[in-house]
Amino acid sequence: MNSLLNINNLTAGYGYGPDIVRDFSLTLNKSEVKCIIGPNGAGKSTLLKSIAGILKPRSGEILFDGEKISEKEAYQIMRLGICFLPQERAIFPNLTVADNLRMCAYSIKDKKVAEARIKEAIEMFPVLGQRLKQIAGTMSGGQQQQLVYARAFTIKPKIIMIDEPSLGLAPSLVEQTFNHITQIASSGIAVILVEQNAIRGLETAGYGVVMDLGKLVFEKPAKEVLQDQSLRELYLGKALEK
Amino acid sequence: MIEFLQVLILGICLGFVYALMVSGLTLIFGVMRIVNLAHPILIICGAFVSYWLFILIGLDPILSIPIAGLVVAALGVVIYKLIFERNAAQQTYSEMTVLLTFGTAMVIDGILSFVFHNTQRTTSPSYATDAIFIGDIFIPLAQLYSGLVSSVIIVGLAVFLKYSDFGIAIRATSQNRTSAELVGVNVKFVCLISFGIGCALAGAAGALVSFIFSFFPSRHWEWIAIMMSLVVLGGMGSLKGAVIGAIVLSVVSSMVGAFISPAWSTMVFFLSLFLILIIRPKGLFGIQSD
Repeated sequence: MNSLLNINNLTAGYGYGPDIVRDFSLTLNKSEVKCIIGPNGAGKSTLLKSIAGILKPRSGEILFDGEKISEKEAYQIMRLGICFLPQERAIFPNLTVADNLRMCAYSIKDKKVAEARIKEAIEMFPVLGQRLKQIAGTMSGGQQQQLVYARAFTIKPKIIMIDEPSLGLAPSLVEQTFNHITQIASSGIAVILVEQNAIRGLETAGYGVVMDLGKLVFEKPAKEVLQDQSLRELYLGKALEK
Repeated sequence: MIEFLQVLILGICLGFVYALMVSGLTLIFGVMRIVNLAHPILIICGAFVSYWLFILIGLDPILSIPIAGLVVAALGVVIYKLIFERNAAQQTYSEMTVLLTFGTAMVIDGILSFVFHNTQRTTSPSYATDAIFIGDIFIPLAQLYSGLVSSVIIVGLAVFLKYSDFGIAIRATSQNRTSAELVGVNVKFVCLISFGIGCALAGAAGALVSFIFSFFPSRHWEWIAIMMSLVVLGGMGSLKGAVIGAIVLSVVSSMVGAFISPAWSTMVFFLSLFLILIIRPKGLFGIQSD
């Protein structure tokens, strides 16, 4: 049986530069949550960008629901049901909150469904409802985070990929963000998470995937990764000493 | 006092026409970071379409706006496909567009000059030489109509950009292409359509220009500098800025022309361009680059 997402021998890189992701394979099943960890420069973000279609793979293929997506445009991949939240806040800072939400629902053809979904998202994040006319970039960091995650509930993708959700956030916001991610996962959406804060990421995920120098080192249930002393020393680094 | 009001009203009317002339320029820059130096020659193309429709079948230039818009939009789409689309991913794209559009302007100018020669033309509908009086203020109908029609088109454009889904997608794309793509916007298509809309606006402006100014193919060189000063004052990429910049400079240059000397009125544009670039290079409402 096919998994939801199959990555087969993917190789990717930028411009004329070296391969950043090398011969990487991974599968993701429905409702699974996988956390990719690894040192800086391991190719984690590059991997997500290639899946999302922002970066065209050099070789290998990516199958989504059995359909080859590695040659499609990013907007087509998104419309199939893979939502990517990149590192930089994925909102439009100069648009109002209402327009941002409308853009979240842009890919939904049926306008009534789109409106209903936006309403749902507002119920989930009432703060957004109170600030519909505000320019998104003038909201606080936490509110902007909510706007980012509102997208997941508006488009209800099959897979959501999140790149470094806790990067640059205040500790209280990190907690809030991981709550959103848990919420998303429990609604049946499969999640691929790339996270510097490896321990927090692994606690949220079902599986831990360790990546280094563009290659898959291994994949294990997240609990095992967290418990294995030698793995912790090797890949979780300083987090251990705390 | 009456003379002042008179000049003010004419300046505002002309300002709206200028605003229409630059609205497409600023839209195209905002969405695609193309500095379209070919925009003024596209306005001349629109003027020629209206001119010939008037000469050949007697169609009023205001009524020929949609046709001039469509013809120039079609031309723009061809130019976009041929020249810009394949280069859009290049790093130095924005700088490169200055040369590419400059070249495009020269080619179109050359063709038009070859076919129609550089003789001064102007469309002369009945109202072109007519005027109305409000009290003692004298308002030429050509200026009044062209100002009104321009403001209607600009308001239409603003409403489209603010409220329609596609308009919001255009604004989203101009803020961040990748983010737009990631919410499912077909960015290539949005760019193509925006370029088309920008060129249609040039065509529409051309139809109006055809009866308020005399035009000839090489006149666009003079307009490039004026139009650049208008958008730079307002801020490249901002429609609101372009409209405000156009009206302010148009009024000021009319005032200078009336009360100081007509010889100095064009100077206003260049002087303001000079000052803005020194004091506030991103203009009044300029967008920040990515």
